[in-house]
Order: sequence, then C-alpha cells, then structure tokens
Amino acid sequence: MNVLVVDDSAVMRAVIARTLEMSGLPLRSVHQAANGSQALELLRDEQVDLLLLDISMPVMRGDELLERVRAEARLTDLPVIVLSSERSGERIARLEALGAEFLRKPFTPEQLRSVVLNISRVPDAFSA
Amino acid sequence: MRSVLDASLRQAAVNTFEQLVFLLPDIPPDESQRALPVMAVASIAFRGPAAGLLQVHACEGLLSRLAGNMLGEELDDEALQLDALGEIANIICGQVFPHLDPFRAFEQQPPQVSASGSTVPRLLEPSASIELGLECSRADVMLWIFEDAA
Repeated sequence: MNVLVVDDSAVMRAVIARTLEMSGLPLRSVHQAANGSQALELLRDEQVDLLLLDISMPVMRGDELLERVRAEARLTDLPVIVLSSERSGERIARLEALGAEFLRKPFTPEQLRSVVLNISRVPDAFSA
Repeated sequence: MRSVLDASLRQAAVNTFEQLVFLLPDIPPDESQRALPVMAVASIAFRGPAAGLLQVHACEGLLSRLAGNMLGEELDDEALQLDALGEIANIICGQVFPHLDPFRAFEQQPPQVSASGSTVPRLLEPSASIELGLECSRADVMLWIFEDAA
C-alpha cells in the first residue's frame, strides 16, 4: 500500500508516517506533502492507494484538494481519511459527501490503524 | 459564560498534551513552574460564528520536549520545535470550536509561531485561560473572543 500524508506541519507528517510504519500494516511507501498543491502533483506522478489529509493548510486546503481529487477520473475512488481537530460544521459535511472518512486529532496509534484498516480493506491477516 | 469557556479550554488543552505529547498536566502549576519565562507563542486567529484568537505560550524548557515527545526522539531543530507548538495550538483550537458553536463551521488560520513572548495582547483580558504545569515547565493557553456573530 502506498500512502500519501498531507499536512502543513512537518512534525505531524512525521508523527503520522512513523505511526503508520510501526502499525504492522503492509506499507510499500509513505509519501509526504505540505499542502494540497504539492499533494496534487504527487497524486498525478505516483501510484497512491490511500490519502491522509489535514484540512487547514496554506496554498490549498484539504477540502479544496479533495474536490480536485474527486474531479479526476483516476482518483474518483481513492480512499481518503481526513485527520482534523474540527468536529462539526459545513466543511465536514462537504468532505463526508465527497466520501472521506474522519479521524479526529489527537488520535492514538490504534485509532489510526483501525481507520486505515477499515477504509483500505487490507486483508484480515494484517488486522490481528 | 467564562467558567464554561474555561472548562472547554481546559479539557481541550489537557486532552491534547496527554494524547499528542504524552505529558500529564498539573493544574495549577507549582511555584517553580509559575516563575518560568515564556519562550515561544503560537497564535491561531479564527472567524465564523465567533471571531477570536487562541494562543499557546510555551515556557522555558518546554519547546525541546514537544517535538521530541511527539516523535520519540531528541530534536534540537528549533524550526521543528516551533512547528510542534503550532500544531498543538491548532489541535486545541479545533477542539474548542464545538463549544462555541456545535453546528456552524469556523475558518481557522494557520498557526503563527514566534520564538518570543512579544505577540501577546496583554491589554485585553482573555475570554478563557488555563495554566498547565508540564513536568519541569509550563504552558499557558488563552482564548480571546473578539466578536460573536450569533
């Protein structure tokens, strides 16, 4: 599984990447981008199987990125997990309508692993 | 109203420091923690149903612990330490919004982080605040509501 982590905080990207690497999930690569614009370039150049993104970012916000992703035929069904401390509001409703799953910050490694397993449909052998 | 906001801010701050940084806050801080100077400030402006500002003040000795605890290794890189403080402020702020308005969305600006205490608008009394003793240091979290759109 190739994962793309999009967050404007370098520390948070590193925390998420490290948590994924220690999760026991079958990862092939963890790419990182600091905003939606960088992420869009990576999504066009690389094979990505799962997108983890923050909402509040400079240059291009997470909700704007997801709208652009869903507009590209190749990425219409890409599994997306939104990692955010926001818990309600119109923006969350819009992201849900675009098919995103949510994980609230702060989260535990077990919570991240669980939502990744759920959305990426990793075989049961990896969920033990 | 102040007590409700204080409780909301306290819950968000304690939750964030415990889960993200693995530091268990002491409330209130002890005398030695209270004496420490502020070394860095993360500010987040927001607007929506209410407009305001949230700040997290990191006192001496705390910055080096934040990114280090989050990543599980010693980090001397000041930029990463300040980045960690900004993310902590970001997460606390997001948890406070539902207490201000559970239904409508807020626009949260990216964190502005300064390695000094000079950006503190001390002329205004915060709408809510909490001081957290964090091992050998202290963090102060303050919330100003400038305008309520409701």
